[in-house]
Amino acid sequence: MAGERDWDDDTIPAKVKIKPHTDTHGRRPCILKQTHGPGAPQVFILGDKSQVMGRSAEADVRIESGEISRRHLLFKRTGSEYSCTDLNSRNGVYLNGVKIHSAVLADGDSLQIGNIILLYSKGN
Amino acid sequence: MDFFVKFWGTRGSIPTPGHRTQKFGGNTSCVEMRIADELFICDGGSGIRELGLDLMARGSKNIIGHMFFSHTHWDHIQGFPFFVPAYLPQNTFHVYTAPGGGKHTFELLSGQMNSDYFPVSFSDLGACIIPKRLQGRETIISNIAVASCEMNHPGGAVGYSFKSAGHKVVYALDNEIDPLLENPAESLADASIPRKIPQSLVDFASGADLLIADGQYTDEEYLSKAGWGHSRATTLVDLAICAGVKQLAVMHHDPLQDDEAVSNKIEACRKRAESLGSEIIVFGAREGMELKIE
Repeated sequence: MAGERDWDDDTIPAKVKIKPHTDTHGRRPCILKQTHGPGAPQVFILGDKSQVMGRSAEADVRIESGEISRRHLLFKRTGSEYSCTDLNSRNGVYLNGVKIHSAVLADGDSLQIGNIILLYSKGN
Repeated sequence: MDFFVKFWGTRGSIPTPGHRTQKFGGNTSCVEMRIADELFICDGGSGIRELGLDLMARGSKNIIGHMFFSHTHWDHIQGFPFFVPAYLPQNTFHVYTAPGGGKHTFELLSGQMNSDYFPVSFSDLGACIIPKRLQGRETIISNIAVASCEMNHPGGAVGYSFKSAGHKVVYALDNEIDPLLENPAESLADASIPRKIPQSLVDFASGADLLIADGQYTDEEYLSKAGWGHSRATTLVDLAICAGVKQLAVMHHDPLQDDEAVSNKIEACRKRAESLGSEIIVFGAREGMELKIE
């Protein structure tokens, strides 16, 4: 039938290529999705090492925004969890709307630093 | 003067580990306060075990802490026998009891380490553990003013306030406010009407930067659990607004509440604050969350 042929037609190039965030073992890493602010949308993968986010050129995760500090916050892995700590930033760190000094992140958490909003997604 | 508050255990009644409680945590009550390098610990639920390990990891040679227990029901003391710093001779802990009569917290705390319940005797703890009693309305401990207030809970419980350099944090757990309201029947029949909070509680929480309080139940849950010694979370909103509190941390989450249920409970509190015309910050206390009071 014509409909089935159209559906199966592999001559039509795919417009969207989905590349899952997985390592060579198929594990999905913990990520931060930036949904608002300069550079959005973009995704940051959290690794094994501690990472500083800020606008400094030396920051591990650099975001160019006048509303965030040079060294704004630190992400640290402990076991399978990530925590974030405010590095005495000027505008602070808000977790789901509450100003915090530090917190262990949970899947679906929203972090706001200045005009940047990040959504935390826990890997497996 | 730096003033930090960190939640190590936020669950009520019994530890509730598992994937359903990962966000808010399953450990029972324990809150750490660090005020100008002085260590204050509120309650010794199962969360105090992790606090102990963290204190060890910080590398202090001598840990000196001031411990306050709301009362000695299991969920507030069960972690103490697993508090590693209490086993080390270089450390010192002052264990406070509220002013007035009643058995000393120290005796009740040590009682749970009787050999019928636990293999290590209290007398085997290496740290210097000193029983103390708060005096009068306010006791000054290293320039920090500590006051206490009786809570409404079967067997009794005590809330504490900590004031330093113009900042105030109130810890008020295991407190059933609803029967103490000036309009208890009306507020149960119609949950939307403002709840008239007793003046003594308003005074105790007055002007706090942070009120950490027992909001174990949703409005619906409370109907079958009245008299068990815990408040409707939404009642805390009325207290916090009346007392001019800046931030309300709802704690002592019911063990039947998974993360989604706690989130819904907090959302109901936020809606109540909004309906009462308040912009107060309301959140659910969760393990690993640390605030700087400023």
